[in-house]
Amino acid sequence: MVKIMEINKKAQMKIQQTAFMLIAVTLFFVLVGLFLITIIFSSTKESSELLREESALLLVSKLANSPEFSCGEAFGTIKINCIDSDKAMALKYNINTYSNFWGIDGIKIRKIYPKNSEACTSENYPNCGEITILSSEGTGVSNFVALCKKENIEGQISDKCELAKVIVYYGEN
Amino acid sequence: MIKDKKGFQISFAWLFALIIGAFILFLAIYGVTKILGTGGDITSVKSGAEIGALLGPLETSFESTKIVLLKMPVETRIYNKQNTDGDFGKQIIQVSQKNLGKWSLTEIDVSFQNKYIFSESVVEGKDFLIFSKPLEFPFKVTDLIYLISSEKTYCFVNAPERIEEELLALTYENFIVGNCSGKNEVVCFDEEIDSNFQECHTNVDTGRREVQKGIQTMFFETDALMYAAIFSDKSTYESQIKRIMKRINMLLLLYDDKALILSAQECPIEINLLILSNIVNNVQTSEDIIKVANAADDLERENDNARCRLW
Amino acid sequence: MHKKNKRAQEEIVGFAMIIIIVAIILLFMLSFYLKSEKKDIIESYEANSFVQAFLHYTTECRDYSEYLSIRNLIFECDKGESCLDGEEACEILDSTLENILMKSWPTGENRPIKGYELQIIADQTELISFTKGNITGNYKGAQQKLPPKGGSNINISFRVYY
Repeated sequence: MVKIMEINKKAQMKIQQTAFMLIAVTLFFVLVGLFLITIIFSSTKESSELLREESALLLVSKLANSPEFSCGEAFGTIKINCIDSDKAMALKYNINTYSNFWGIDGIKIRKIYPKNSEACTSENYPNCGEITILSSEGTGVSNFVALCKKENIEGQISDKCELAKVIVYYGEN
Repeated sequence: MIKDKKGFQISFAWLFALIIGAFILFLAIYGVTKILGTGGDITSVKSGAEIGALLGPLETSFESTKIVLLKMPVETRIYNKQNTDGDFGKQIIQVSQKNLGKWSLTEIDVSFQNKYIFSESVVEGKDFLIFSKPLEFPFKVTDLIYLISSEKTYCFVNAPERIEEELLALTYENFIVGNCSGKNEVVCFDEEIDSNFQECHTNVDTGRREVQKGIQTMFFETDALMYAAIFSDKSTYESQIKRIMKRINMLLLLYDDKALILSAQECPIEINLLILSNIVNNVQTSEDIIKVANAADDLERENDNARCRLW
Repeated sequence: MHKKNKRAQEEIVGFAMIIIIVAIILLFMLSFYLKSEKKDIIESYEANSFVQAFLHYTTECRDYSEYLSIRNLIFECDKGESCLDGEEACEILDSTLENILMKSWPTGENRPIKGYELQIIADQTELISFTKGNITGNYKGAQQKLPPKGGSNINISFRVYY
């Protein structure tokens, strides 16, 4: 009888050991799995961020050629990398329609030379230096452009081009 | 003898281990299958978004045509869909890729408001040829993007010289001028059949500004829209025309506001944008394109003669 | 008794080895995933766009019909011409470009841009040359050729060092 009881106790101990061991292994692999899933999904988010950054970089190098910005032949011959300041101001006041058009969060045009940090409004234009087309708090990528407009100098309408940067913002969320 | 009578006995420990082990295996296989499925969806969406990013370099400035070759790692189907609602409509791309002999199905699509892709509704292949041409009506409206599978070849018969030169300048084997074979998509200009007596799959009437594919007719103005009609199907073409008209309408609003700004600079603008705006708002099908073209020509003349050009 | 103790120890060691192997594999995978591409301090298109943009800049130099852009001023400088107010075209070109470069590419020890170099050459003659800051091993550059306007071939070369 004593021997049988001992055997029973031994068996129960073995079952318990196995059970604990399996629980420990399972918990361990569940933790590993959770960790891996977090990494996989964060890499998906990173891919999405990289794509948005790539998209913004491509856009900033080409935005001046977009019909809503480009100078076209309004200032003599066709100008590449040239933004029509007057059109940009017109776009600023129609931006609600264009808010998702380029798939980015913000667009700003900032005069570099001659420098002027004053924000452009309908009251102070063209004596200002920064046109916020679409405002955003995201990350910005920039590119140089010529910012051209028609100016009345001593009664004569002339083309005036200055150096500016167009800044495209993404990743606001 | 007693031992033999016992027979096979599974201990409780083994039984417990087998049950738990089977459960863990089931969880692992289920989890992997789920991740694979999600991964497939992610790849398709990423491909769609990457295609969109690849279309960026196709923006033309002063060049007339730009071309890129899109290489995919596996057989791919690109679904070209459009939505004409809203201020600009939407260009929708759905990508399906072949993995282990099966096409991935995904409900997720990628959309762009500022792209206009002309192609068949479904384009299948491993490599794709994408090229673009600017559309001016009379100012630059957008770049029209043409997407064809690199497995498809187009043979142009009796095309005008400028078209032949442009196509040959692209230097891709997908475009042949004359000497068509049975495997080509034959595009005949102002002819019913080509000189090899091959049936024309597409007929371009440059006088009436029509492109005919079977019983379907698409109307065009400018070479950019002519290529669009040749390389796409009717439903894609008509939807994109509607989207382009919306874009022209928005650009006219911008030019109208620009005219006000210039007037404040003592440079009054005497260009009547309203006529084109009214016509563009009433375009229902490509048949109305000719009215847009005529109004655009008038506007172009006014702009050329203006003291301060709008474009 | 001794045999039982040894078996338990063997099992624990085995379990610990599995954990160590899995941890090492995870570390490798982590390092692979965490590697990310950094954005360049200067992108290649920025230098190109800068050159294209400054060529359109309207200067203070006027001829009989209009104020000249830098592009046209380069040609006037090459011919040794003067502006309507008597100033030398090359002087105005020099001062304008100097100011543009200073405002567009601020350099310094604590700045990402370490230096820049701009050269405008007409055939073999150097018209304009600016060098500022340190010339490092990393740079992005742009070259622009201007088709001749009845004069020399103009070649513009610009480098930004970071």
